[in-house]
Amino acid sequence: MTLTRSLLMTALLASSLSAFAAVTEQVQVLDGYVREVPPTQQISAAFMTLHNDDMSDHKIISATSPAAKTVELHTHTLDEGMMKMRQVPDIAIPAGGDTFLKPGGLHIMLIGLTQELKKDVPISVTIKFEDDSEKTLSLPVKSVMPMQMKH
Amino acid sequence: MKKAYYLFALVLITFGLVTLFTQPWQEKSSHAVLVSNTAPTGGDFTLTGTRGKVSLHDYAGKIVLLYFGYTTCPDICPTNLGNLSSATRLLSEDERNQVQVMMITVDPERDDQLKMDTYLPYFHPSFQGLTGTPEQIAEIAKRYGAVYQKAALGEGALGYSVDHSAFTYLINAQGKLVEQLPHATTGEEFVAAIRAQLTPK
Repeated sequence: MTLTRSLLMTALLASSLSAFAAVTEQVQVLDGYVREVPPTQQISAAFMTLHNDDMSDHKIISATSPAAKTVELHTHTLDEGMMKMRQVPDIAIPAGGDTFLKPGGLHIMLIGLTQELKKDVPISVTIKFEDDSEKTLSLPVKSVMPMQMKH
Repeated sequence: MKKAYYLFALVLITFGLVTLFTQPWQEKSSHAVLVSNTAPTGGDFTLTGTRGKVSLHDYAGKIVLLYFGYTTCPDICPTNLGNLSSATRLLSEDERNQVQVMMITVDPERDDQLKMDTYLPYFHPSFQGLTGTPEQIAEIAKRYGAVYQKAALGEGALGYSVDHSAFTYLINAQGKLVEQLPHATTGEEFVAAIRAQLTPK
């Protein structure tokens, strides 16, 4: 009886804890990277897979990075035969699901780069969720070319 | 009788306008091979490259992969040019010598030759960047069926981005537009399309 009760209490406590856990604890970021850019290019983008472990939907509401003057959430849509890039207010991550930030789709735009993007020098990007909790990522810089240039 | 002619003419004009504005050949996201009579005609053009005037006919005998993009393009152009770069490096040296990749800027206001010459070689040293007056570029884009328009870019420091169609136009050794390859065509797919045009020796 006592054991059952204490187990129940523990379960209740655990569930209430999870309900109060910050969104940043519930969302995992996988395979993140920032795209290497041609010389003089002032903009780049961060791509990643977001996994939501939680039973509720979550979203990214903004992002910042010391590597760029402005950081915006963007998406691409194919409309009237044109690839249109537009700012979005947030990026949703469905409960128990994944959201893919990838070329040609959703991405975190780094506008006005303040530092040169170099391979092997990771870029810090902080993403903020709807409850204002944050996650700071250290993202590697990757070339768009799958193979390395032979000089 | 006369009335019928007018009606016929009206129908034709309406049809023309509808096709003009909807551009049905521009298949959304699918692998659009030119089939319909509204297909772009392509054809010769002259613009400015690294060493002055560059014409398509200068590359007669070569397969030309033509792309319309711009150097501050954050995602779409680098993806496509990256894939074209992979394709170029997948080709044998002999095949590579029969291929020319070029990008015409759709943002001539900001893209001068210096920017084009800094941007394109990042992807491959052989890639050519072409500029011209907005009117020249608009005229060529129209013939190839490329569309583009300026778009405000958030409150960002860049002012604007350019919405643009992201096809790569495959022009054969005779200067004829033969195929348009959609955005995100992979390096391997470009190689297959190029090899289909190279005459077996």
